[in-house]
Amino acid sequence: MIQISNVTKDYPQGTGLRTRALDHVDLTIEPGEFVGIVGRNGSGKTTLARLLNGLLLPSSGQVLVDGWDTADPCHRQDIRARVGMVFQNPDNQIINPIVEEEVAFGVENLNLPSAEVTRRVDWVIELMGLSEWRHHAPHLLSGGQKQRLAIAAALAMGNSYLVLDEPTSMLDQLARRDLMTCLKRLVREEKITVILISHSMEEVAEADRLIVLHRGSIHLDGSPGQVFNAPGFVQTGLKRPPIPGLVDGLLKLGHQINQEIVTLEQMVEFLCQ
Amino acid sequence: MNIDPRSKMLIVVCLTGLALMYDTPRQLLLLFLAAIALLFIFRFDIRTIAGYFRPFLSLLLFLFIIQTIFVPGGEVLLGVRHTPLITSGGLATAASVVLRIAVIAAAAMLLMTFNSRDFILGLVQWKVPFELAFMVAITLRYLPLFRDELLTVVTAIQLRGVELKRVPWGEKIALQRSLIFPVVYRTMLQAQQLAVAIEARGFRAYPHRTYIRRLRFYWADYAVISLSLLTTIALVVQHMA
Repeated sequence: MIQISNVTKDYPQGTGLRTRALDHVDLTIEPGEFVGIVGRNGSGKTTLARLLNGLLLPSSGQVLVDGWDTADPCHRQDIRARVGMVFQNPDNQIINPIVEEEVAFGVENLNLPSAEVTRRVDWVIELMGLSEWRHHAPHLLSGGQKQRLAIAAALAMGNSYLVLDEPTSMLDQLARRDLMTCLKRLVREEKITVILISHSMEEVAEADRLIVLHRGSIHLDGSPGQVFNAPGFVQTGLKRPPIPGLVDGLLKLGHQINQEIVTLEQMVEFLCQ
Repeated sequence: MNIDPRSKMLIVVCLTGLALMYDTPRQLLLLFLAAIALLFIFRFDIRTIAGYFRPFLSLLLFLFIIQTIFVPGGEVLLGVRHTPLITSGGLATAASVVLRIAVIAAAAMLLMTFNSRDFILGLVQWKVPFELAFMVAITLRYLPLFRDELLTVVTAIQLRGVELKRVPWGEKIALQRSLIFPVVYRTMLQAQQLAVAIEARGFRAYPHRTYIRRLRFYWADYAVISLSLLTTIALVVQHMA
């Protein structure tokens, strides 16, 4: 479990002033959840993501990962072995010249026996569908494959939590769908807790839980259906995905339809009943 | 024949050491020819070698001229009034400097025959701390990125209507500020993002780390190492004598 208790994060501005990126945030993320986090630019999404694995420390408050405090240097590396991060630009997070070694980099840092390193690398490469590219250079991969490689590199460390900070923003439509399918499979089959930060409402609509950040605070928190239909959603300046709009239209025409329907798949399933 | 990266690194060290030790054009020319011969053995063709040296040619020529004029000695071959311009000593020094650089550059080409990961593994297996070896490899990785960023910024400037080839020299120097700052800034930003990614993957989490792959010496490596060391030692002894 990840527990964020009354966390505030300020950034100094160099003239004695401070910018508050997160303001008294309380949040609990249970194991196995698929959480989407959205918000406008400057709402604190990236700051929140980096607090989760100790890359940033809170100015006040506490972040606990499976009971370990991220501010405690003794457990910081244990936390980083639990909470993996994938960033926006895949090229800026690829370190090694061969796919296999890129996946192995994080595991090697954990000082595990060689046999265990090899086992994890084999498992993760198979899981992420990169077997064909195992001995190739990462720059030969497509954008979507590079992001899958970044996920593989994080998972090989034995992460039980995976934080993805706008991983699809540099990908085309097909690669985005491919990555979302991969993430849902990780949640469903491997029981990985996925925390997805995105500007795409269609993507976060597929999460189990949606959090909206607004000016450094949690403005809304619930299922995607609850959040998109909440009166406070409009105030955040974000735009709903098209399906909730369609649901509203059908309701106005008198059709009986579940307001929790937020994705195309859910709509198709409803219409085919 | 697949030679271990460590064997190649040793050859580079030997060639570089000899280049620093030798000071006559004849010795350095022979060393340069030996370096070229080694490149042919490691399957570089003449076109690749020529292409590699082409960017250096103007620098080498500039150095040759500067050394010839400003390091006079020996017989005056060309003078202006009482001022020696070209001397035999100057020519010899210039040739030595240029050939020394050429030998080191040729030796460095051998480092292109293996990737940064093997470079790190080789240094680590030679008991160099991983962080140091990793730092060197990452630095080498950023050299082409620096060049790519420069191209991006030059393109951006040209798209704003600045014809770089037609800009007067005085303005060109001022324009360098507009080029250097964004290139350095963007490269540093990329480096910062990479540092965050590396840290997120547990870099330096523990004092020791394991490796999925280790380099191994085979008979060819022992032969190359023995030959390199024995030849270098013999040449050093001969030079000292």
